[in-house]
Amino acid sequence: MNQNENKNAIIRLFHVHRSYGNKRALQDITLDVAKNEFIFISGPSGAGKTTLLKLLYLGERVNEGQVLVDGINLSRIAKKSIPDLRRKFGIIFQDYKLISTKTVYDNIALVLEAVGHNRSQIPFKVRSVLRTVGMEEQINSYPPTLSGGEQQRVAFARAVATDPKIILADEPTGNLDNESASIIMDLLIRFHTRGATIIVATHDMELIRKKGGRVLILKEGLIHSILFQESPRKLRR
Amino acid sequence: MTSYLKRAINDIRDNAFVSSVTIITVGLLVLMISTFILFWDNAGRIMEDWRKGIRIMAYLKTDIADEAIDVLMKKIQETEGVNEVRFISKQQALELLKEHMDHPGSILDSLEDNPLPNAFEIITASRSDDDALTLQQVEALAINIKTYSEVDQVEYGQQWLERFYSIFDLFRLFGFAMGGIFVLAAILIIANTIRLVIYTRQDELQVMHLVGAYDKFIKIPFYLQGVIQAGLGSSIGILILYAGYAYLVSSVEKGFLVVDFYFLSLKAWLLIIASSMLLGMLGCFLSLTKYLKD
Repeated sequence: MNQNENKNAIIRLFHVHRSYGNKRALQDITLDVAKNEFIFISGPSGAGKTTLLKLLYLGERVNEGQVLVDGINLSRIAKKSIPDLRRKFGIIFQDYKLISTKTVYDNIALVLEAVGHNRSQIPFKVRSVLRTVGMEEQINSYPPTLSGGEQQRVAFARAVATDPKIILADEPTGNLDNESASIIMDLLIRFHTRGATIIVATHDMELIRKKGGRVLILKEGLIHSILFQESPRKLRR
Repeated sequence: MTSYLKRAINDIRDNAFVSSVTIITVGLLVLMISTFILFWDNAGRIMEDWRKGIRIMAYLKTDIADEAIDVLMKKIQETEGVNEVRFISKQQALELLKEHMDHPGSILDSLEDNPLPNAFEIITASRSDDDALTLQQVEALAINIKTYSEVDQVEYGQQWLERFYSIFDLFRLFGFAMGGIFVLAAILIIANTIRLVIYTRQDELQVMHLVGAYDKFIKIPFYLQGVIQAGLGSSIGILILYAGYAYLVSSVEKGFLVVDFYFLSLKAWLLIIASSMLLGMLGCFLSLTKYLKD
Protein backbone atom coordinates (compact mmCIF):
# COMPACT_ATOMS: atom_id res chain seq x y z
CA MET A 1 0.00 0.00 0.00
CA ASN A 2 1.55 3.32 -1.03
CA GLN A 3 1.57 6.67 0.78
CA ASN A 4 -1.52 7.99 -1.04
CA GLU A 5 -3.52 4.98 0.04
CA ASN A 6 -2.41 5.55 3.65
CA LYS A 7 -3.91 9.03 3.61
CA ASN A 8 -7.14 7.45 2.50
CA ALA A 9 -7.11 4.87 5.30
CA ILE A 10 -10.21 4.64 7.50
CA ILE A 11 -8.63 2.01 9.77
CA ARG A 12 -4.97 1.89 10.79
CA LEU A 13 -3.28 -0.61 13.09
CA PHE A 14 0.34 -0.06 14.24
CA HIS A 15 2.25 -2.94 15.83
CA VAL A 16 -0.82 -4.19 17.65
CA HIS A 17 -0.45 -6.91 20.28
CA ARG A 18 -3.22 -8.63 22.16
CA SER A 19 -2.81 -11.50 24.65
CA TYR A 20 -5.14 -13.51 26.90
CA GLY A 21 -2.95 -14.47 29.84
CA ASN A 22 0.00 -16.33 28.34
CA LYS A 23 -1.76 -16.91 25.01
CA ARG A 24 -0.83 -14.41 22.32
CA ALA A 25 -3.92 -13.80 20.18
CA LEU A 26 -2.37 -11.13 17.96
CA GLN A 27 1.26 -10.17 17.53
CA ASP A 28 2.71 -7.11 15.86
CA ILE A 29 -0.18 -6.46 13.47
CA THR A 30 0.29 -3.42 11.24
CA LEU A 31 -2.42 -2.81 8.68
CA ASP A 32 -4.22 -0.02 6.82
CA VAL A 33 -7.72 -0.40 5.44
CA ALA A 34 -8.72 2.21 2.88
CA LYS A 35 -12.09 3.92 2.74
CA ASN A 36 -14.53 1.83 0.68
CA GLU A 37 -12.12 -1.11 0.61
CA PHE A 38 -13.47 -4.68 0.72
CA ILE A 39 -10.95 -6.73 2.65
CA PHE A 40 -11.01 -10.31 3.87
CA ILE A 41 -9.28 -11.50 6.99
CA SER A 42 -8.66 -15.19 6.72
CA GLY A 43 -6.80 -17.94 8.49
CA PRO A 44 -7.52 -21.08 10.49
CA SER A 45 -9.60 -21.13 13.68
CA GLY A 46 -7.80 -19.43 16.56
CA ALA A 47 -5.65 -17.35 14.19
CA GLY A 48 -6.96 -14.10 15.71
CA LYS A 49 -9.56 -13.00 13.12
CA THR A 50 -12.34 -12.31 15.62
CA THR A 51 -9.93 -10.65 18.05
CA LEU A 52 -8.77 -8.31 15.30
CA LEU A 53 -12.36 -7.25 14.56
CA LYS A 54 -13.10 -6.78 18.27
CA LEU A 55 -10.15 -4.41 18.62
CA LEU A 56 -11.73 -2.13 16.02
CA TYR A 57 -15.02 -1.54 17.87
CA LEU A 58 -13.45 -1.80 21.32
CA GLY A 59 -14.97 -5.15 22.11
CA GLU A 60 -11.40 -5.77 23.27
CA ARG A 61 -8.50 -3.42 23.93
CA VAL A 62 -4.95 -3.73 22.66
CA ASN A 63 -2.14 -4.60 25.05
CA GLU A 64 0.38 -2.80 22.89
CA GLY A 65 0.27 -0.71 19.73
CA GLN A 66 -2.24 1.75 18.32
CA VAL A 67 -5.54 1.46 16.51
CA LEU A 68 -7.04 4.39 14.62
CA VAL A 69 -10.58 4.32 13.30
CA ASP A 70 -11.72 7.21 11.11
CA GLY A 71 -9.02 9.37 12.70
CA ILE A 72 -9.86 8.40 16.31
CA ASN A 73 -7.04 6.90 18.36
CA LEU A 74 -8.74 4.13 20.33
CA SER A 75 -6.06 4.16 23.05
CA ARG A 76 -7.10 7.69 23.96
CA ILE A 77 -10.84 7.49 23.49
CA ALA A 78 -12.98 8.60 26.45
CA LYS A 79 -15.45 6.04 27.79
CA LYS A 80 -18.38 8.31 26.98
CA SER A 81 -17.26 8.45 23.32
CA ILE A 82 -17.24 4.68 22.81
CA PRO A 83 -20.92 4.57 21.68
CA ASP A 84 -20.13 7.22 19.04
CA LEU A 85 -17.23 5.09 17.79
CA ARG A 86 -19.46 2.01 17.58
CA ARG A 87 -22.03 3.90 15.51
CA LYS A 88 -19.48 3.98 12.69
CA PHE A 89 -19.78 0.17 12.48
CA GLY A 90 -22.40 -2.29 11.41
CA ILE A 91 -21.47 -5.66 12.85
CA ILE A 92 -22.62 -9.06 11.59
CA PHE A 93 -21.94 -12.16 13.67
CA GLN A 94 -21.82 -15.83 12.82
CA ASP A 95 -24.52 -16.52 15.45
CA TYR A 96 -26.66 -13.53 14.32
CA LYS A 97 -27.21 -12.20 17.87
CA LEU A 98 -30.86 -11.40 17.25
CA ILE A 99 -33.11 -10.85 20.27
CA SER A 100 -35.32 -13.93 20.26
CA THR A 101 -38.13 -12.34 22.30
CA LYS A 102 -38.56 -9.45 19.86
CA THR A 103 -40.01 -9.51 16.38
CA VAL A 104 -37.92 -8.82 13.28
CA TYR A 105 -39.37 -5.31 13.26
CA ASP A 106 -38.50 -4.69 16.92
CA ASN A 107 -34.97 -6.06 16.52
CA ILE A 108 -34.21 -3.40 13.92
CA ALA A 109 -36.33 -0.61 15.39
CA LEU A 110 -34.54 -0.99 18.74
CA VAL A 111 -31.18 -0.35 17.09
CA LEU A 112 -32.49 2.70 15.24
CA GLU A 113 -33.98 4.00 18.46
CA ALA A 114 -30.72 3.32 20.30
CA VAL A 115 -28.74 5.50 17.88
CA GLY A 116 -31.29 8.30 18.13
CA HIS A 117 -32.94 7.89 14.72
CA ASN A 118 -35.95 10.13 14.09
CA ARG A 119 -38.76 8.20 15.79
CA SER A 120 -41.40 8.94 13.18
CA GLN A 121 -39.11 7.65 10.43
CA ILE A 122 -38.27 4.34 12.11
CA PRO A 123 -41.18 2.27 10.64
CA PHE A 124 -40.28 3.43 7.10
CA LYS A 125 -36.59 2.79 7.63
CA VAL A 126 -37.20 -0.71 9.03
CA ARG A 127 -39.43 -1.63 6.07
CA SER A 128 -36.96 -0.18 3.61
CA VAL A 129 -33.97 -2.08 4.98
CA LEU A 130 -35.96 -5.32 5.22
CA ARG A 131 -37.04 -4.87 1.62
CA THR A 132 -33.37 -4.53 0.65
CA VAL A 133 -32.53 -7.89 2.21
CA GLY A 134 -35.76 -9.51 0.99
CA MET A 135 -37.27 -10.03 4.42
CA GLU A 136 -40.18 -7.58 4.43
CA GLU A 137 -42.71 -10.41 4.53
CA GLN A 138 -41.29 -11.67 7.82
CA ILE A 139 -41.47 -8.31 9.57
CA ASN A 140 -43.68 -9.63 12.38
CA SER A 141 -41.93 -12.99 12.78
CA TYR A 142 -39.79 -13.92 15.75
CA PRO A 143 -36.18 -14.94 14.98
CA PRO A 144 -36.48 -18.55 16.23
CA THR A 145 -39.16 -19.18 13.59
CA LEU A 146 -36.79 -18.19 10.75
CA SER A 147 -34.14 -20.28 8.98
CA GLY A 148 -30.44 -19.55 9.55
CA GLY A 149 -30.15 -17.74 6.23
CA GLU A 150 -33.21 -15.61 7.00
CA GLN A 151 -31.90 -14.77 10.46
CA GLN A 152 -28.58 -13.70 8.99
CA ARG A 153 -30.39 -11.48 6.49
CA VAL A 154 -32.29 -9.84 9.37
CA ALA A 155 -28.98 -9.42 11.22
CA PHE A 156 -27.57 -7.87 8.07
CA ALA A 157 -30.53 -5.49 7.86
CA ARG A 158 -29.98 -4.52 11.47
CA ALA A 159 -26.27 -3.89 10.83
CA VAL A 160 -26.85 -1.62 7.83
CA ALA A 161 -30.01 0.12 9.12
CA THR A 162 -27.96 2.86 10.75
CA ASP A 163 -26.00 3.54 7.53
CA PRO A 164 -22.60 2.70 9.03
CA LYS A 165 -19.35 3.70 7.38
CA ILE A 166 -17.77 0.32 8.08
CA ILE A 167 -19.34 -3.14 8.03
CA LEU A 168 -17.60 -5.84 10.04
CA ALA A 169 -18.71 -9.39 9.30
CA ASP A 170 -17.37 -12.14 11.53
CA GLU A 171 -17.80 -15.49 9.73
CA PRO A 172 -21.13 -14.23 8.31
CA THR A 173 -21.70 -17.39 6.30
CA GLY A 174 -20.26 -19.85 8.80
CA ASN A 175 -23.63 -21.37 9.68
CA LEU A 176 -25.29 -21.05 6.27
CA ASP A 177 -25.86 -23.24 3.24
CA ASN A 178 -24.36 -22.19 -0.10
CA GLU A 179 -27.45 -20.40 -1.35
CA SER A 180 -27.86 -18.34 1.83
CA ALA A 181 -24.13 -17.64 1.92
CA SER A 182 -24.34 -16.36 -1.64
CA ILE A 183 -27.23 -14.02 -0.75
CA ILE A 184 -25.29 -12.57 2.19
CA MET A 185 -22.21 -12.12 0.04
CA ASP A 186 -24.25 -10.32 -2.63
CA LEU A 187 -25.66 -8.01 0.04
CA LEU A 188 -22.15 -7.20 1.27
CA ILE A 189 -21.08 -6.41 -2.28
CA ARG A 190 -24.14 -4.22 -2.79
CA PHE A 191 -23.34 -2.15 0.31
CA HIS A 192 -19.72 -1.95 -0.74
CA THR A 193 -20.76 -0.38 -4.03
CA ARG A 194 -22.84 2.11 -2.04
CA GLY A 195 -19.67 3.33 -0.36
CA ALA A 196 -19.23 1.29 2.83
CA THR A 197 -15.89 -0.17 3.90
CA ILE A 198 -16.29 -3.91 4.36
CA ILE A 199 -14.12 -6.19 6.50
CA VAL A 200 -15.06 -9.86 6.42
CA ALA A 201 -13.42 -12.41 8.70
CA THR A 202 -13.79 -15.85 7.15
CA HIS A 203 -11.95 -19.06 6.52
CA ASP A 204 -14.22 -19.82 3.55
CA MET A 205 -11.86 -19.55 0.55
CA GLU A 206 -14.74 -20.10 -1.86
CA LEU A 207 -16.34 -16.89 -0.59
CA ILE A 208 -13.05 -15.02 -1.05
CA ARG A 209 -12.59 -16.37 -4.58
CA LYS A 210 -16.13 -15.31 -5.50
CA LYS A 211 -15.62 -11.67 -4.50
CA GLY A 212 -11.89 -11.16 -4.84
CA GLY A 213 -9.91 -8.32 -3.25
CA ARG A 214 -7.24 -7.96 -0.64
CA VAL A 215 -6.90 -10.90 1.77
CA LEU A 216 -5.02 -10.69 5.04
CA ILE A 217 -4.05 -14.15 6.20
CA LEU A 218 -3.42 -14.62 9.89
CA LYS A 219 -1.72 -17.59 11.46
CA GLU A 220 -1.23 -17.99 15.21
CA GLY A 221 -1.83 -14.28 15.72
CA LEU A 222 0.73 -13.14 13.16
CA ILE A 223 0.24 -11.76 9.66
CA HIS A 224 1.21 -14.75 7.54
CA SER A 225 0.68 -13.02 4.19
CA ILE A 226 -1.34 -10.41 2.37
CA LEU A 227 -2.67 -11.58 -0.99
CA PHE A 228 -4.70 -9.98 -3.71
CA GLN A 229 -7.35 -12.29 -5.08
CA GLU A 230 -8.52 -11.37 -8.57
CA SER A 231 -12.30 -11.23 -8.83
CA PRO A 232 -13.87 -13.90 -11.10
CA ARG A 233 -15.08 -11.12 -13.42
CA LYS A 234 -11.53 -9.82 -13.92
CA LEU A 235 -10.23 -13.32 -14.33
CA ARG A 236 -12.81 -14.03 -17.04
CA ARG A 237 -11.85 -10.81 -18.82
CA MET B 1 -39.01 9.46 29.66
CA THR B 2 -42.29 8.25 28.12
CA SER B 3 -40.39 6.21 25.54
CA TYR B 4 -38.22 4.67 28.28
CA LEU B 5 -41.34 3.78 30.24
CA LYS B 6 -42.93 2.31 27.13
CA ARG B 7 -39.83 0.21 26.49
CA ALA B 8 -39.73 -0.92 30.12
CA ILE B 9 -43.38 -2.05 29.93
CA ASN B 10 -42.79 -3.76 26.58
CA ASP B 11 -39.73 -5.52 27.98
CA ILE B 12 -41.72 -6.77 30.98
CA ARG B 13 -44.36 -8.08 28.54
CA ASP B 14 -41.78 -9.62 26.17
CA ASN B 15 -40.03 -11.37 29.06
CA ALA B 16 -43.27 -12.38 30.76
CA PHE B 17 -41.92 -15.50 32.47
CA VAL B 18 -38.85 -13.95 34.06
CA SER B 19 -40.82 -10.82 34.92
CA SER B 20 -43.49 -12.94 36.63
CA VAL B 21 -40.82 -14.78 38.62
CA THR B 22 -39.40 -11.43 39.78
CA ILE B 23 -42.81 -10.04 40.70
CA ILE B 24 -43.79 -13.23 42.59
CA THR B 25 -40.43 -13.33 44.41
CA VAL B 26 -40.78 -9.71 45.50
CA GLY B 27 -44.42 -10.35 46.43
CA LEU B 28 -43.54 -13.32 48.63
CA LEU B 29 -40.69 -11.45 50.28
CA VAL B 30 -42.89 -8.45 51.01
CA LEU B 31 -45.64 -10.76 52.28
CA MET B 32 -43.16 -12.41 54.63
CA ILE B 33 -41.69 -9.13 55.86
CA SER B 34 -44.99 -7.30 56.21
CA THR B 35 -46.53 -10.29 58.06
CA PHE B 36 -43.67 -10.06 60.50
CA ILE B 37 -44.10 -6.27 60.76
CA LEU B 38 -47.85 -6.69 61.29
CA PHE B 39 -47.44 -9.12 64.18
CA TRP B 40 -44.54 -7.21 65.64
CA ASP B 41 -46.46 -3.95 65.42
CA ASN B 42 -49.55 -5.40 67.08
CA ALA B 43 -47.62 -7.29 69.75
CA GLY B 44 -45.65 -4.13 70.45
CA ARG B 45 -48.85 -2.10 70.75
CA ILE B 46 -50.38 -4.64 73.15
CA MET B 47 -47.26 -4.70 75.29
CA GLU B 48 -47.09 -0.93 75.24
CA ASP B 49 -50.72 -0.74 76.39
CA TRP B 50 -49.93 -3.09 79.25
CA ARG B 51 -46.90 -1.03 80.14
CA LYS B 52 -48.94 2.15 80.12
CA GLY B 53 -51.66 0.62 82.25
CA ILE B 54 -49.57 -0.65 85.17
CA ARG B 55 -51.52 -0.43 88.44
CA ILE B 56 -50.32 -0.12 92.00
CA MET B 57 -52.58 -1.38 94.80
CA ALA B 58 -52.16 0.48 98.11
CA TYR B 59 -53.93 -1.38 100.96
CA LEU B 60 -54.91 0.85 103.90
CA LYS B 61 -54.74 0.17 107.61
CA THR B 62 -58.08 -0.73 109.20
CA ASP B 63 -58.61 2.24 111.50
CA ILE B 64 -58.39 5.11 109.03
CA ALA B 65 -61.11 7.77 109.15
CA ASP B 66 -63.00 8.67 105.98
CA GLU B 67 -61.65 12.25 106.03
CA ALA B 68 -58.09 10.96 106.23
CA ILE B 69 -58.78 8.65 103.29
CA ASP B 70 -60.01 11.65 101.24
CA VAL B 71 -56.92 13.68 102.11
CA LEU B 72 -54.59 10.80 101.29
CA MET B 73 -56.38 10.16 97.97
CA LYS B 74 -55.86 13.79 97.01
CA LYS B 75 -52.16 13.62 97.93
CA ILE B 76 -51.61 10.50 95.84
CA GLN B 77 -53.58 11.98 92.95
CA GLU B 78 -51.18 14.94 92.88
CA THR B 79 -48.08 12.75 92.89
CA GLU B 80 -46.05 12.80 89.68
CA GLY B 81 -46.56 9.71 87.48
CA VAL B 82 -50.05 9.04 88.82
CA ASN B 83 -52.84 9.30 86.32
CA GLU B 84 -55.86 8.10 88.27
CA VAL B 85 -56.66 6.98 91.80
CA ARG B 86 -59.75 4.94 92.62
CA PHE B 87 -60.88 4.13 96.14
CA ILE B 88 -62.07 0.55 96.60
CA SER B 89 -63.85 0.07 99.88
CA LYS B 90 -63.65 -3.24 101.73
CA GLN B 91 -67.30 -3.96 100.75
CA GLN B 92 -66.59 -3.30 97.06
CA ALA B 93 -63.53 -5.52 97.30
CA LEU B 94 -65.64 -8.34 98.75
CA GLU B 95 -68.25 -7.94 96.00
CA LEU B 96 -65.50 -8.03 93.35
CA LEU B 97 -64.05 -11.14 94.96
CA LYS B 98 -67.46 -12.82 94.89
CA GLU B 99 -67.85 -11.90 91.21
CA HIS B 100 -64.54 -13.46 90.29
CA MET B 101 -65.03 -16.70 92.24
CA ASP B 102 -66.90 -19.59 90.61
CA HIS B 103 -68.55 -20.87 93.82
CA PRO B 104 -68.15 -18.06 96.34
CA GLY B 105 -71.21 -18.82 98.45
CA SER B 106 -70.01 -21.45 100.88
CA ILE B 107 -66.72 -19.83 101.94
CA LEU B 108 -67.47 -16.12 101.77
CA ASP B 109 -70.97 -16.42 103.35
CA SER B 110 -69.49 -18.19 106.33
CA LEU B 111 -67.28 -15.18 107.17
CA GLU B 112 -68.52 -13.16 110.16
CA ASP B 113 -66.43 -10.05 109.36
CA ASN B 114 -65.14 -8.76 106.02
CA PRO B 115 -61.36 -9.46 106.24
CA LEU B 116 -60.47 -7.34 103.20
CA PRO B 117 -58.92 -3.86 103.68
CA ASN B 118 -59.87 -0.57 102.04
CA ALA B 119 -57.55 0.12 99.13
CA PHE B 120 -56.51 2.58 96.45
CA GLU B 121 -56.10 1.43 92.87
CA ILE B 122 -53.46 3.73 91.37
CA ILE B 123 -53.13 3.83 87.57
CA THR B 124 -49.66 5.03 86.71
CA ALA B 125 -50.05 6.73 83.36
CA SER B 126 -52.65 7.43 80.71
CA ARG B 127 -52.95 4.92 77.85
CA SER B 128 -52.73 7.80 75.43
CA ASP B 129 -49.60 9.07 77.11
CA ASP B 130 -46.41 8.22 75.30
CA ASP B 131 -44.30 8.64 78.43
CA ALA B 132 -45.16 5.44 80.28
CA LEU B 133 -43.25 4.87 83.52
CA THR B 134 -40.14 2.75 83.56
CA LEU B 135 -39.80 -0.11 86.02
CA GLN B 136 -37.58 2.05 88.27
CA GLN B 137 -40.14 4.87 88.27
CA VAL B 138 -42.94 2.44 89.21
CA GLU B 139 -40.75 1.12 92.06
CA ALA B 140 -39.97 4.65 93.27
CA LEU B 141 -43.67 5.59 93.16
CA ALA B 142 -44.61 2.48 95.15
CA ILE B 143 -41.96 3.24 97.80
CA ASN B 144 -43.20 6.83 98.01
CA ILE B 145 -46.81 5.70 98.55
CA LYS B 146 -45.69 3.18 101.15
CA THR B 147 -44.22 6.04 103.26
CA TYR B 148 -47.71 7.35 104.10
CA SER B 149 -48.64 6.22 107.59
CA GLU B 150 -52.18 5.27 106.52
CA VAL B 151 -50.84 2.75 104.00
CA ASP B 152 -50.31 -0.75 105.26
CA GLN B 153 -49.04 -2.52 102.16
CA VAL B 154 -48.25 -1.72 98.51
CA GLU B 155 -48.36 -4.23 95.68
CA TYR B 156 -47.46 -3.72 92.06
CA GLY B 157 -46.52 -7.20 90.90
CA GLN B 158 -42.81 -6.54 91.15
CA GLN B 159 -41.61 -9.94 89.97
CA TRP B 160 -44.14 -10.02 87.14
CA LEU B 161 -43.16 -6.52 86.07
CA GLU B 162 -39.46 -7.34 86.05
CA ARG B 163 -40.15 -10.37 83.87
CA PHE B 164 -42.48 -8.34 81.64
CA TYR B 165 -39.93 -5.60 81.10
CA SER B 166 -37.16 -8.06 80.27
CA ILE B 167 -39.47 -9.85 77.79
CA PHE B 168 -40.44 -6.49 76.31
CA ASP B 169 -36.78 -5.50 75.80
CA LEU B 170 -35.97 -8.92 74.35
CA PHE B 171 -38.98 -8.65 72.04
CA ARG B 172 -37.82 -5.28 70.72
CA LEU B 173 -34.26 -6.51 70.21
CA PHE B 174 -35.53 -9.64 68.44
CA GLY B 175 -37.79 -7.51 66.24
CA PHE B 176 -34.98 -5.21 65.14
CA ALA B 177 -32.62 -8.15 64.52
CA MET B 178 -35.23 -10.08 62.51
CA GLY B 179 -36.20 -6.93 60.63
CA GLY B 180 -32.55 -6.33 59.73
CA ILE B 181 -32.10 -9.93 58.55
CA PHE B 182 -35.29 -9.78 56.48
CA VAL B 183 -34.27 -6.51 54.81
CA LEU B 184 -30.78 -7.86 54.05
CA ALA B 185 -32.27 -11.05 52.64
CA ALA B 186 -34.70 -8.97 50.58
CA ILE B 187 -31.87 -6.89 49.07
CA LEU B 188 -29.89 -10.01 48.16
CA ILE B 189 -32.86 -11.90 46.74
CA ILE B 190 -34.13 -8.93 44.72
CA ALA B 191 -30.61 -8.15 43.44
CA ASN B 192 -30.11 -11.78 42.43
CA THR B 193 -33.52 -12.05 40.80
CA ILE B 194 -32.81 -8.94 38.75
CA ARG B 195 -29.37 -10.33 37.97
CA LEU B 196 -31.15 -13.39 36.60
CA VAL B 197 -33.32 -11.12 34.44
CA ILE B 198 -30.26 -9.33 33.13
CA TYR B 199 -28.46 -12.63 32.60
CA THR B 200 -31.31 -13.93 30.44
CA ARG B 201 -31.13 -10.73 28.40
CA GLN B 202 -27.37 -10.56 27.97
CA ASP B 203 -27.63 -10.85 24.18
CA GLU B 204 -29.92 -7.84 24.05
CA LEU B 205 -27.59 -5.82 26.26
CA GLN B 206 -24.62 -6.84 24.14
CA VAL B 207 -26.38 -5.87 20.92
CA MET B 208 -27.35 -2.47 22.28
CA HIS B 209 -23.81 -1.92 23.43
CA LEU B 210 -22.35 -2.89 20.09
CA VAL B 211 -24.62 -0.68 18.03
CA GLY B 212 -23.54 2.33 20.08
CA ALA B 213 -26.46 2.85 22.45
CA TYR B 214 -25.64 5.28 25.24
CA ASP B 215 -25.64 3.88 28.76
CA LYS B 216 -28.77 5.78 29.74
CA PHE B 217 -30.66 4.26 26.81
CA ILE B 218 -29.77 0.79 28.10
CA LYS B 219 -29.99 1.40 31.83
CA ILE B 220 -33.06 3.60 32.33
CA PRO B 221 -35.58 1.00 31.06
CA PHE B 222 -33.92 -1.60 33.29
CA TYR B 223 -34.20 0.67 36.33
CA LEU B 224 -37.82 1.39 35.45
CA GLN B 225 -38.50 -2.33 35.10
CA GLY B 226 -36.89 -2.98 38.49
CA VAL B 227 -39.05 -0.26 40.04
CA ILE B 228 -42.26 -1.41 38.30
CA GLN B 229 -41.71 -5.08 39.15
CA ALA B 230 -40.82 -4.33 42.76
CA GLY B 231 -43.81 -1.97 43.04
CA LEU B 232 -46.19 -4.55 41.58
CA GLY B 233 -44.72 -7.39 43.65
CA SER B 234 -44.87 -5.45 46.92
CA SER B 235 -48.43 -4.27 46.22
CA ILE B 236 -49.51 -7.85 45.56
CA GLY B 237 -47.74 -9.00 48.75
CA ILE B 238 -49.51 -6.39 50.85
CA LEU B 239 -52.90 -7.09 49.24
CA ILE B 240 -52.51 -10.82 50.01
CA LEU B 241 -51.61 -9.93 53.58
CA TYR B 242 -54.66 -7.65 53.83
CA ALA B 243 -56.92 -10.41 52.46
CA GLY B 244 -55.46 -12.81 55.04
CA TYR B 245 -55.94 -10.26 57.80
CA ALA B 246 -59.53 -9.52 56.76
CA TYR B 247 -60.31 -13.25 56.62
CA LEU B 248 -58.73 -13.85 60.04
CA VAL B 249 -60.54 -10.95 61.70
CA SER B 250 -63.92 -11.81 60.19
CA SER B 251 -63.74 -15.56 60.81
CA VAL B 252 -62.38 -15.49 64.37
CA GLU B 253 -65.22 -15.42 66.88
CA LYS B 254 -65.69 -12.14 68.64
CA GLY B 255 -64.26 -12.41 72.09
CA PHE B 256 -61.57 -14.84 70.98
CA LEU B 257 -59.35 -11.93 70.08
CA VAL B 258 -59.05 -10.36 73.52
CA VAL B 259 -57.23 -7.36 72.11
CA ASP B 260 -57.79 -5.16 69.07
CA PHE B 261 -55.74 -6.38 66.10
CA TYR B 262 -54.95 -3.59 63.66
CA PHE B 263 -53.70 -3.74 60.06
CA LEU B 264 -50.68 -1.74 58.95
CA SER B 265 -51.26 1.96 58.56
CA LEU B 266 -51.44 3.54 55.10
CA LYS B 267 -48.11 5.18 55.87
CA ALA B 268 -46.58 1.75 56.53
CA TRP B 269 -48.08 0.38 53.27
CA LEU B 270 -46.59 3.21 51.27
CA LEU B 271 -43.27 2.91 53.07
CA ILE B 272 -43.04 -0.83 52.32
CA ILE B 273 -43.93 -0.30 48.63
CA ALA B 274 -41.53 2.64 48.28
CA SER B 275 -38.73 0.67 50.00
CA SER B 276 -39.34 -2.28 47.68
CA MET B 277 -39.16 0.01 44.64
CA LEU B 278 -35.93 1.46 45.96
CA LEU B 279 -34.57 -2.06 46.50
CA GLY B 280 -35.62 -2.94 42.94
CA MET B 281 -33.59 0.00 41.69
CA LEU B 282 -30.64 -0.92 43.93
CA GLY B 283 -30.81 -4.52 42.64
CA CYS B 284 -30.70 -3.19 39.05
CA PHE B 285 -27.79 -0.95 39.87
CA LEU B 286 -25.76 -3.81 41.40
CA SER B 287 -26.49 -6.14 38.50
CA LEU B 288 -26.05 -3.63 35.68
CA THR B 289 -22.74 -2.44 37.10
CA LYS B 290 -21.48 -5.99 36.77
CA TYR B 291 -22.70 -6.59 33.22
CA LEU B 292 -22.18 -3.19 31.63
CA LYS B 293 -18.54 -2.37 32.03
CA ASP B 294 -17.62 -1.08 28.56
